[in-house]
Amino acid sequence: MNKQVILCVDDEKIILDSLRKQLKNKFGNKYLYEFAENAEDAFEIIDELTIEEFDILVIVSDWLMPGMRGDEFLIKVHKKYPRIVKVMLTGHADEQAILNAKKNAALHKCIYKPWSEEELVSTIITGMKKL
Amino acid sequence: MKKVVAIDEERCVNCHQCISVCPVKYCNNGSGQFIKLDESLCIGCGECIIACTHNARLIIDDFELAIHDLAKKEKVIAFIAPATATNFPNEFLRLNGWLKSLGVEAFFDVSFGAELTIKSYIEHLKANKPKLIISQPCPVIVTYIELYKPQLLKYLAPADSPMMHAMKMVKEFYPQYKDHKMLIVSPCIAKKREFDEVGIGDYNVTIYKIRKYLENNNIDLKDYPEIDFDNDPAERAVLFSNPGGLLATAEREIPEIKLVTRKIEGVKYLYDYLDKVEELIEDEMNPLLIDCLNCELGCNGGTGTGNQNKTPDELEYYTNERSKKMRKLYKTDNGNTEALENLRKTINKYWKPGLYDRDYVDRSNLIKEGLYDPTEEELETIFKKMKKFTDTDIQNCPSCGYNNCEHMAKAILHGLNKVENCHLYMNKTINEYSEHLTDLVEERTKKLKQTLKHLKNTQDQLIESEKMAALGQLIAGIAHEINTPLGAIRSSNENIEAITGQILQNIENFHIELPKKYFKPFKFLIEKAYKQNTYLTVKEERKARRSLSKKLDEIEIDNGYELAENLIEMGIINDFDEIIPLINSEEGLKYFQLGYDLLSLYKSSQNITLAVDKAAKVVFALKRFSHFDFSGELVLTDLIENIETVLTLYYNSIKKGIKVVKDFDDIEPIFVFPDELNQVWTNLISNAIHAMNYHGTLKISIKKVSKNIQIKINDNGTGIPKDIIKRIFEPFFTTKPQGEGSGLGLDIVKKIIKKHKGNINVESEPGNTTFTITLPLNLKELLTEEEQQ
Repeated sequence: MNKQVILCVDDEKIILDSLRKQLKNKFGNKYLYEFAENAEDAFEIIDELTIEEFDILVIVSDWLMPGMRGDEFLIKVHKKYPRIVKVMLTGHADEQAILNAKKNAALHKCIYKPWSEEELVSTIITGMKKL
Repeated sequence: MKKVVAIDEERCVNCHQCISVCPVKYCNNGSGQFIKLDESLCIGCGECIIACTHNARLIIDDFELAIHDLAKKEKVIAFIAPATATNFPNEFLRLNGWLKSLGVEAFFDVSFGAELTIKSYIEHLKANKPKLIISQPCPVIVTYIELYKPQLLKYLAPADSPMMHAMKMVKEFYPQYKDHKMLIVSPCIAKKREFDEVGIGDYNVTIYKIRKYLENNNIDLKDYPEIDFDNDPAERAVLFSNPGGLLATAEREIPEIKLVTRKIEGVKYLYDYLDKVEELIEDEMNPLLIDCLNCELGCNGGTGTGNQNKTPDELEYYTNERSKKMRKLYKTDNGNTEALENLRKTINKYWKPGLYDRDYVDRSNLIKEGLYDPTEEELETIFKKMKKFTDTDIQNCPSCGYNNCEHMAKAILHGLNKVENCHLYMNKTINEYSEHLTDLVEERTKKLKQTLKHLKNTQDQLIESEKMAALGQLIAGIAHEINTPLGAIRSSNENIEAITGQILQNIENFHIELPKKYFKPFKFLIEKAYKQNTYLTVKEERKARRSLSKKLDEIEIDNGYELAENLIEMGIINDFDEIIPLINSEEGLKYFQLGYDLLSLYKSSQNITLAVDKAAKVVFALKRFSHFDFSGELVLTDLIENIETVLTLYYNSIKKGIKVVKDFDDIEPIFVFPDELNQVWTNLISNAIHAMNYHGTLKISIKKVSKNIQIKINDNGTGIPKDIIKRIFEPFFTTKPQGEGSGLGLDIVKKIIKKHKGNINVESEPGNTTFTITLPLNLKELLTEEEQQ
């Protein structure tokens, strides 16, 4: 079984569903896809997957979410898992937040909603090339 | 010259009554807060003392000094003025008794000095044949002529007053008393000045002060013996204190003198008369003798008597009685020539040529230098200062006390008065001020109106900008709110495209007919997926997927993990037995994939609908919110919908951690200004969200309470500190850092609620803050009624 994972975090289920479809469309069974509705759940999944020796390659995270915001979440992730490629996907993020994520979370790229599959996929591919 | 009138500065109200009655005016200085008196220009007429209704003018005499010196055993003799007889009726000889008790050694009757005075006048007449004699027992008249009419000095009788005659007589003929201090019981405050000029006389003790002293110390003269005078008695000269008393005595010697005498008294007439004497002489209309006294009642009611309010009859009764008595004594009535000769012999005994001569001093330089009349130029300048520009401005009114504008101008010129004391000036000034004020008020009103208008505009702008600020805050969230469904739409659509593309490309690979063995499982799969009614959260989904993946592994199905994911997506969580034929063979999987793709199409399509609805809802709310019109009309509005609009806009903030508890009664739409109420909810909800820092419970209730609708917005945030809760509705009050809030939010909320004839209240404690808004159900009726009124 494939042990490489792409994790998506967004508080909107339709977004997660959409992402699932797009990723599966493009990458099929090459990776495992995990989804979380907020940062808290995401951490839980990350820790769990890590224990089970899954390899999280990419995190695609929304910015404006209940509780912890995207930049903050990615920074926290970055501290513990600096290798993970971090992508922000958002309908709105202020400049400061993006700068913050770039500086402190080595943010790979910020994609703006509405996005295209091609944009998402190429971002993930370019991100993974760095690995 | 000695000061004879004192001023109580505190009592003086600067009313100028004193100036008004003063015959010489310029001794008074009215330029300050109270009137000052220049004694060198004051003639001592005492009019001001009578006129002053504020008791600010007081007499000055030597009473206290005399009492003091007597107590120190000073050797003192007394001279009693003839007016004493009427001022202490029937008791004036007992006054001698009282004075004796104080240590006065001898008593001389000034009336005898008056007898000598007549002698001196007759000698002057005989010797010098003057055109005119102005009598001079009155020191006020002497001072007046010395200061203001020096031209008349030569007509002043060159002989001493009766008082001086008496004192000089004692010095000459009573050597035992020549070194005694001389105390004069006097009806006149000005007598003191005569002492100074002639150089004789020590204490001018006024009758007024004696009477006050006796009263204050409960001294009854009846308790003192009558003590007669030490000099020879006078005859009818005891009448000297009467107006015309001098004439009456002179008549005894020269009966026809009455025909050539002008008897005149009183400030009112005397000084005007004296001012005309020169003219009279020139016209040869002058009398030979002017028997004149400053005081209208003569010395009987002199300045130092306090008797000025009595009638002449009351006063003269006693002097006349005394005269009768004295004539009886000398037996001089009925033309008894022998008795008259005896009297004359008595008088002559005490008369000596030259002894009673009197010189006068011309003091008029003081006036010429210090009080000159203004030049025309000076007058014009002063008049301008007094705001007198035309002849009609010269009103010669009595307000200033001079009764004459030129005289007032002269006083101002010499610094003795000020323009503020001119009635016309004050009137004009007040009018000017009033006009100025009217102008000012008009100007200010105009400005205020402009300011008000400006403020109104500003307020409108502020309301607008407050709205824009709220909108600005919302924009970020709203962008997300719209872009999120757009993202879903886009990706769902791409998904549909991809699937249909795949299907279309591989259509030839599918058997048109589904093999029979797959018929049942395929139908089950599609039905299950299509009628899917269990909605799992992402977390639940994950859990289910893991458990399903395990189960699939257990029955040795390949790719259990991905298959599990797809199955769960299609709503198959537990009952996968039915579809095993579809997943345990490659052929079956082909049909499974077809089913999955078809379902994906359906789900993507559903997602699009969902996302479109969501975006539409946001756009709709945004439209409602931004459509804002203050001139707006009442609109029948569903308040629940009205509040929901705002909640939709704030959904983004709310979803982060706020639980919204709605308790809405089923209420009928009411007439309100919906856009404005929108702003109210926006403000209150936004404040609540901030107060809870995006985490907490927001309770909103809408209830019908009698004829009102009551909306409560409650949060469990930090609460409003007690010290500011009273101020939160004040305009510009804000606790937000500068630049973040205008401080107008709640002020505007209050105004909007007021416009709705409603109320807003706040109750707050940490963890429980409630804004309660009450709106009347019948706003439309209320406003219509108001309009009709």
